Amino acid sequence: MTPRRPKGKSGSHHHAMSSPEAMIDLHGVVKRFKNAAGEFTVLKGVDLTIKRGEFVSIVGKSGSGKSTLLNMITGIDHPTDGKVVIGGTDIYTGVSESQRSKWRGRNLGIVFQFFQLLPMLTLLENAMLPMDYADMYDFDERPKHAMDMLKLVGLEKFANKLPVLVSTGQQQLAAIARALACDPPLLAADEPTGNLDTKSANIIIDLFEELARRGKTVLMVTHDPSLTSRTTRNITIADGLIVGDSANGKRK
Amino acid sequence: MRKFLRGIFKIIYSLAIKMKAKSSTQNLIELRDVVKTYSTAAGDFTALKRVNLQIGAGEFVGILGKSGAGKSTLLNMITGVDHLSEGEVVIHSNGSPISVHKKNEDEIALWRGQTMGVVFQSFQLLPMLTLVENITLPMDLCGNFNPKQSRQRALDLLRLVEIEEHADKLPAFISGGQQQRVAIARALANDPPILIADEPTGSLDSLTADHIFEVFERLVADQGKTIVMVTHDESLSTRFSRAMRITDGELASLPERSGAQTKGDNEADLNPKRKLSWWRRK
Repeated sequence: MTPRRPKGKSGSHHHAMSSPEAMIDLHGVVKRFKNAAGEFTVLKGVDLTIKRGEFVSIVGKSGSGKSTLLNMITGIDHPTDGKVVIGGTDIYTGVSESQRSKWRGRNLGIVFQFFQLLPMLTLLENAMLPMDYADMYDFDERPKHAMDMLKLVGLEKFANKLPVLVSTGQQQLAAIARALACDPPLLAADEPTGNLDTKSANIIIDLFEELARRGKTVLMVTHDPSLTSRTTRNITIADGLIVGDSANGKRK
Repeated sequence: MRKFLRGIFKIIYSLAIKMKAKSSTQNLIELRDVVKTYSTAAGDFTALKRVNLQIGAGEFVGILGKSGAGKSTLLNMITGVDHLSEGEVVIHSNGSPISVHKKNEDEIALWRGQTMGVVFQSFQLLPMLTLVENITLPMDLCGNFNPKQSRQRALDLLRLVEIEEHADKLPAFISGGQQQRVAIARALANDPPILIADEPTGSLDSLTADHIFEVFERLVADQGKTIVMVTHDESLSTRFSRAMRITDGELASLPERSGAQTKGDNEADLNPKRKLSWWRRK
């Protein structure tokens, strides 16, 4: 969509209003958890802007807050304070609770470490699921759209197989096809290669790169430093704050 | 008044036994000489060696065995998730026998959705959907209920597994035991006669596991579901209406426990209990 642009050194300036180019805009996001031991602040006021078409990695140690940050962006969890604006919509005040799954289905695809395919459904049926809860496409058109997504990830030959009969790498590719089902502009992935061998992991990253090239915004949480050389921008999070934000110059 | 009630009680009891006798003439699930061989780089490996098994309606069958014994493979043959090498699996749901492995993939998915609910060790809920949405999903896929009906039914099922107050939460915000309750509710979405459970308590602590097992027990007693559960937990063996053991791909009945009836009696015993409990609730 947006033409590639050379990346500046620091992340970006944080405007009070989200610019039309911004896919993700976080303003002062705080997340506190309460448990028996007391209160624990996982995110301590995070400001972050990610533009359309960026391929961003978020790295940090276990417990640094990186997955919590992703959960704020996907609307899976609520911030204690601050604003989360995705594609111009404040997802906590602008989308009602009952509409959130539909909104999420249309606006972002989520990819998980353990794929989370439904085991009793074929890969094609799994890829059709978001169309159901996002209420996208005519019922009869759904198989064709799902098949297009499976082709995109190279799984068309396996469309009618159940997840248990394909490899873990292929399961993750199917999960990506599902995430893309409603053609969302944003793809959020939580340790997508954490359960895969190196070869399969590379196939996944190649695919993410291609998707970003086609204009999708791809956000990936990982603890694997070897993957960060493949993204256009790396964000490092420690103790609930962004401590590093750098652009990778190399991008064809 | 008491005599009158007792009279009614007797009539219902005998009716129940007759109904059971009639229904038990036909098996609900039948495995005939089922063989499953996997080809690996190291050669062929036979995971199931001519397994024969008949399960009647209303039975709660436990299949015990160690990891690698063939437990999950056996379930995969019943659900048709994996292909068999030899033999046949026949399910007699709503009157007509269906040979699971002779149907094509499209037919089988719809049929399975309506005939069997499956519960997994790792719950397998979709993380981006609320609990109630996770349960309406299979209803949407099978098309038996309209959207309004399916939400109401999902809420009813959440009430059945005692977790309705969390209906609009995402799976990440409830405990593992609660997630498994939701997974059971989802398995019941299209009201299938059969529930298949693959180590459903395997990733839960023992107290939570016990609560989940009670949910299954109630489904057999109150709703007349037929359940096939695979587990490595030996302590559960006496709580099934029938327990089998699988070792190196071979299936055998467990020795009768003291005071237990023969298999046939056991089935007959189970069904009146279900009818009575249904009667008590009315």
